[in-house]
Amino acid sequence: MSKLMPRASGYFRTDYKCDLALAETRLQRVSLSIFIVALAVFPFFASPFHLDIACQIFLAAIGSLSLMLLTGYAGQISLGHAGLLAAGAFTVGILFRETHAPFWVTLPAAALVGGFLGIIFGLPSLRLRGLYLAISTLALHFVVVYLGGEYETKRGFSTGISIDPPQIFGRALTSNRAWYFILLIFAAATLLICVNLLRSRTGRAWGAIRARETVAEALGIDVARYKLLAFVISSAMTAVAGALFAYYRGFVSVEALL
Amino acid sequence: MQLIVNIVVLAAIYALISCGYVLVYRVSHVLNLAHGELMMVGAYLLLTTAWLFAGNPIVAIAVALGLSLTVGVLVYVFLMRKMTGEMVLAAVLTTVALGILLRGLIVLVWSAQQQYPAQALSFTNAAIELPGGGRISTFAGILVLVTATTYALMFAFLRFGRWGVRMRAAGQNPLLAAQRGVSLHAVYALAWSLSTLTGSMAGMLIALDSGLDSTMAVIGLKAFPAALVGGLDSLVGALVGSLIVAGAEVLAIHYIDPLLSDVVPFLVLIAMLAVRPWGLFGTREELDRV
Repeated sequence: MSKLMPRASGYFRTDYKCDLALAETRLQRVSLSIFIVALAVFPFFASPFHLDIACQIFLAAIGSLSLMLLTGYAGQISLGHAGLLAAGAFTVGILFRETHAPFWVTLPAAALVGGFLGIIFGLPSLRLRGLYLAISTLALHFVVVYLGGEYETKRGFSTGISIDPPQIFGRALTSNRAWYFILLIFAAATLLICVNLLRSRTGRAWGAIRARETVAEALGIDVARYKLLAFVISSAMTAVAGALFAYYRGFVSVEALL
Repeated sequence: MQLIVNIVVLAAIYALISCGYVLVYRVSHVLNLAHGELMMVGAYLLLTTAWLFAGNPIVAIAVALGLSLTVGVLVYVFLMRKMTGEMVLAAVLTTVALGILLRGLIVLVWSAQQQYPAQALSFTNAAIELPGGGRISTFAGILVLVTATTYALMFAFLRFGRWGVRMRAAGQNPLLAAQRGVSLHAVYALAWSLSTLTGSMAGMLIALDSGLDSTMAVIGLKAFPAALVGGLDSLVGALVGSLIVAGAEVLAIHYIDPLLSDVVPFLVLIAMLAVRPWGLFGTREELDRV
């Protein structure tokens, strides 16, 4: 792995190890490690305000990575991701209010709800394309937001649901610095998952569907399955981002998520 | 009887708003998702002119209408003009961004609290008894009349007007229209200004009827299903779609749950998209890919 690899021309990945490597050239490796170190020491120098901004950047990064998978790679437009974000946040809020579930229950639950909604959001994509698909996801966004609002008013939390900070190892997670690292880990994990998904069979199938659906089908790609898969994965990620957002803010309300 | 009146009023609101969606879509094939916000801008403009010309309601309304026409032209000249010929999706996303921007600006300029332009113009909004036992507020009645007039004028304009024909031509085949000497930019600008004007009229009348705050954009967005159910490029469709959506909404509010009001139009929309995406009266187009 020590050999230098020029990237500008040709395809030089000659063995499986090269193909697996995340950083190929020395420059990439050096800059990547500098970046990681910088991210790791940043919270010890930054002011609370900058920490807050960094945390929001990580949250937005998770959300936009998931949207990138769906719209950028699989080519399916969604205007409803704000609704999915809300769905994740409300899953946390509702589970916390009704059962006082800890965060290691609510986060997977949010992902599950997101994935399930992803199937629903994705179903129109089997029939509709482009603008009309975007509209149908927008419509579903309103349905989700309505359901959240309905819960709020029916249960009497009309101004929103407040959530206690999650407990990790018996300590409440309140400091901005701890949040920074948690969100950093989640964002990095999302990035890794996306990178690896995109160079797998699934990612290539998405690319094919985006480029030309008919050809993708002729090549033996199950278009319906991969479209739904794109929606499910992307929605689950977005819902997790929404759930983290809810914990980070300690508060869920329809207004904040519109 | 009251139920029917409610349906008609709501349908008139939706129809007046959705004809803006239809105009812009039919002429430039751009879906204007900022229409609700533009409508709100119109309503707030009326509020401002009402403060400026407190004694002269007619002047205030006329100035506000003129300003909203200008807003439409400005939106086209400074924003959508750049998107002409670009990907349709890019243009649609531009309007989404414009909507968010306008919403923020409105709160900055006019604050988020509830306002009553009718008070500023010292109008009273008396209820009118209708034969048959229904009641309708004055401004709701005016709104129904305005909608009817607008649609009649719009039909005549698109059918017989010189610019109306140009607009239809530009919508059908921009390249051919341009080669026949139709100025596309002028036609698009006209479509945007007319769309903003009708939207603003709706916004003003709703604001006069029931007050004005920054959630009005939601009404504009709810009118969008009406446009799509009828077919995005058909004015008749917009009328019929408005009736269907308004009917479904009023009945759901009356018989099921008032909270449903925000979601029923979108449920109708989803049902329509599943069955007949191009709408009741729309032309079936090659759905463009991303």
